[in-house]
Amino acid sequence: MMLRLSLLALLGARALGAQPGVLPNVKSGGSPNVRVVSHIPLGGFFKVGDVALEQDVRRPFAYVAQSLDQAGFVAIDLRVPEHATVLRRWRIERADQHQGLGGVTVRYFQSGGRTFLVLGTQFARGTLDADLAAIVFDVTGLPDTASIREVARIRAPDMPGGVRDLFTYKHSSGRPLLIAAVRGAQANVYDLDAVVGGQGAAALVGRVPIPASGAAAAGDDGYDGIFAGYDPAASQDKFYGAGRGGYFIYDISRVESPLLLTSVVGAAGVTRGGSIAPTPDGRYIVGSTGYQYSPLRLFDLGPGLAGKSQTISRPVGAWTADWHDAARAAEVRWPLAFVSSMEDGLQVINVVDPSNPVTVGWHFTCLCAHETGFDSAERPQGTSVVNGAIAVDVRNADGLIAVSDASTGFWLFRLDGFGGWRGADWSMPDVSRAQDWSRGAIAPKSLVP
Amino acid sequence: MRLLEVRSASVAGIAAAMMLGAAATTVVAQQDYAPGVLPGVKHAGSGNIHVLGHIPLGGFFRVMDNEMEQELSRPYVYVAQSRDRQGFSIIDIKDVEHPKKIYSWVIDNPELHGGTGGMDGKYFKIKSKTGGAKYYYVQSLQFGGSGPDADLGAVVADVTGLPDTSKVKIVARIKHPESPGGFHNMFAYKHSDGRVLLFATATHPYALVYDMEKVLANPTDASKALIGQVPIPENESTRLGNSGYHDFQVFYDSKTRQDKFYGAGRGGYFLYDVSKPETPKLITSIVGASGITGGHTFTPVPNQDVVVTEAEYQFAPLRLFDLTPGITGKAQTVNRPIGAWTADWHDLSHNHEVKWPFVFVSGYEDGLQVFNLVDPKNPQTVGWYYTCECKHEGGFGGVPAWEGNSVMQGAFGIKVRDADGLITISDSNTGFWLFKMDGFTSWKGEDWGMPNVSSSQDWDRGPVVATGGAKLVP
Repeated sequence: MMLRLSLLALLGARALGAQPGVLPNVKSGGSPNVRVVSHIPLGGFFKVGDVALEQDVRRPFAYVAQSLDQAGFVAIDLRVPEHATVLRRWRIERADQHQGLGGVTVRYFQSGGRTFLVLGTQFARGTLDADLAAIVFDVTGLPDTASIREVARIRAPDMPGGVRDLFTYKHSSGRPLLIAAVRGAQANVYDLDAVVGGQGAAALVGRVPIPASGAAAAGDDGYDGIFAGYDPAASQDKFYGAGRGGYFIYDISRVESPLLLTSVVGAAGVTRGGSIAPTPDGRYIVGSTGYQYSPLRLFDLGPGLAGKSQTISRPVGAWTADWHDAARAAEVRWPLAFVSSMEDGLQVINVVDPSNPVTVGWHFTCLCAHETGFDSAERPQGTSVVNGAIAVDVRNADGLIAVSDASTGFWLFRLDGFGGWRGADWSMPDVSRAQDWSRGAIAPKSLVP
Repeated sequence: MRLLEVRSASVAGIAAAMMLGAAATTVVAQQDYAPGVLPGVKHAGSGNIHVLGHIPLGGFFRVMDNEMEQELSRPYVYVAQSRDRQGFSIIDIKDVEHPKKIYSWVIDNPELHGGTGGMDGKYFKIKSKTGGAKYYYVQSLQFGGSGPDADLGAVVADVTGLPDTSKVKIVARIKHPESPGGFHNMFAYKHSDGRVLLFATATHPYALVYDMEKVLANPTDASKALIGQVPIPENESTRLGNSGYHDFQVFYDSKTRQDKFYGAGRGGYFLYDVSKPETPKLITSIVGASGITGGHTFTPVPNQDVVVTEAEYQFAPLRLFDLTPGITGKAQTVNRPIGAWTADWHDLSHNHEVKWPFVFVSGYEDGLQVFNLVDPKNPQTVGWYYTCECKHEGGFGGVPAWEGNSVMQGAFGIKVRDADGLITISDSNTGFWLFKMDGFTSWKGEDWGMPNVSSSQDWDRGPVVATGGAKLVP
């Protein structure tokens, strides 16, 4: 009986002109070297935002921001990666009274021996919690979900609308910092020890400005994507910001007084940077713009950092999974970059030759029709290509890859031959999104306090 | 080259050819690529595109745009030339398989002139009062500010006497001293009111509109022929510097009975009603589309609802927009494409000619490209031929260096002769090319249920009759 039903299903599928399990015009499956470890749907179309993986394999937890009517986050247990499970769903109180995207980004950090989660939020200007930038939770007690405790709310009342991105960074001074792409012409820098210590406004220790731009299409906001990393060659903490006008690199060794080092401005087709990720040595950046038909562009910062040119305006290379679509952001683990490529899912590229990036693996997570993506928080379903893989993170210890897909939820992958990442293995500084919270950015040469 | 010799070998030479072939095979094994094919260089084309003729015209960036006369009885093509050949050449294509360069005009004292020189060219026809007709070719010129002729925008040549080149004569010079730097692009248009108009770019935020009969009547003072200016709306984009428009075309819309100006430039793309060219009226625009701070070229399909646009930067596809919301007043501006096309996303496409349902593209490094846009949401490539024969990113580097590392090199200009479907390409590096595409032997709008609207002008009858109306222009 079962066999007969299967045969009938197969015949039916053939009659419809499609392979069983494959939707026409919907990208499906992936390259054989990228293996799905697990997948958890998290509420459907645009209920999912950013993802963060804790780097310590003894704390096998992932966090996913959630949006719209599910504004909040989920904590996911990865003790058995093949059977990842949701440990806890947290929703903002009075969710039905909030307007806007809700939870958009998540990062974690450690302070005083405890582990904290930061949820970045976006609530519409003029509505409830429009001044809310982020909520901080103590998640030290996981997997005991009852121990999760909200410890602080970071507000930016002078720049309502929430944040577009967050980055948690262990500064060379030893301070854990939160850098927030607030809705103004700057990124705010918070001392996270002070945040969890309840010091309120005093925790705001710096502002990284974004240079004025004449590009009308650039809008009135500041940064869209941010990154920070320590450059051992220059002995500098560097801020990488993508936003109005292009891409900007600041020395934030003294966060109170950032110094502009160089920028990528005036590149054709780039009026606004969407995301930015440097190579570990800080020589190149991988930048997105976030709009349809635009590839990821790779820029050589060398002439700018050396003072040979004031700004960089020409990419040395570019990459796209499919030129009809758009890519959102990259996580560089030299020589690879893991790309959250929206409709094109997880994409992995090799950037060892930045002038000729090459695709080395992929898996389509969106399972969506082309151009059926996000429109607005008020009317989410639209016709854009903003859909699918929103963010990616990589656990350096074992190469586990997490993707958050705006529509299909949380995914875990492994890439054949990628069992982990350390900069030293590639004669590169150990710079990635992953922070060494206990030893700091300068380790192992000198331990920070 | 050796392989070509082998291919053309006579039967009697087969044995020798086989030996040569064996030798060539050995070379292949050593070089790891086919003989005659340069590694990393795109080569040849699709099976439905046939090369008829090819004339090198001086090498790297000596060649810019081209113009082809539409009447079969006047088989002439004009090619704009630059660098040390600042001017234009005339190609006789009476025998399309053996085109010949029959004439070249170069500005006096070229060594003293800076800038790019010849850039764009257009021809036009004016009925004489005696019942005959005169043919003219206008060559746009761009000379640097510090040298001579910076105020010279174009020269007008009387080419009526072709193929007798001794009768070619420069009969007018169009100067616009208010905006030195010359004309980058031009469009010659038979207006519905019967006038022959020349629209020209300038380094200021207007398109200049000249009445060409008045230009010919005042050959040394074109200011007397300047009958209108089409403004470009204010925009914060500084991409084109002081210039307003980069390029434009004008078409008659038989539905609305309007002469419509499609201008691309600072800020995007702008559609004006120029039925009265002295008082242009903005109809709608494409502004604020992602990735577009300036427009390069703006071309409608014959019924003028969908447009093909070019943005002129690497990685940018040709984008297709539906203007309907803007034209009907439902939206002030249009800012989202409905489709896009590229030959190779690493590169850039340049000019294009719409002959519905085809678009013929001069695709720089990608040579001649032809795509079908019957479904504008899903354009499909239907033919191509690589004319550049160049390495990727070895293109134009600005003046005076010329050589650089951009993707701006290769197929620069393109034209299609409606009567027989002949296709011309002017390639910045390799010169002049003639093509035919299988199954494309001519183009008329009515054959496709469309108005007879393309860049080709009906100089005798004017656009109203040409697009199906009844009125004969004066």
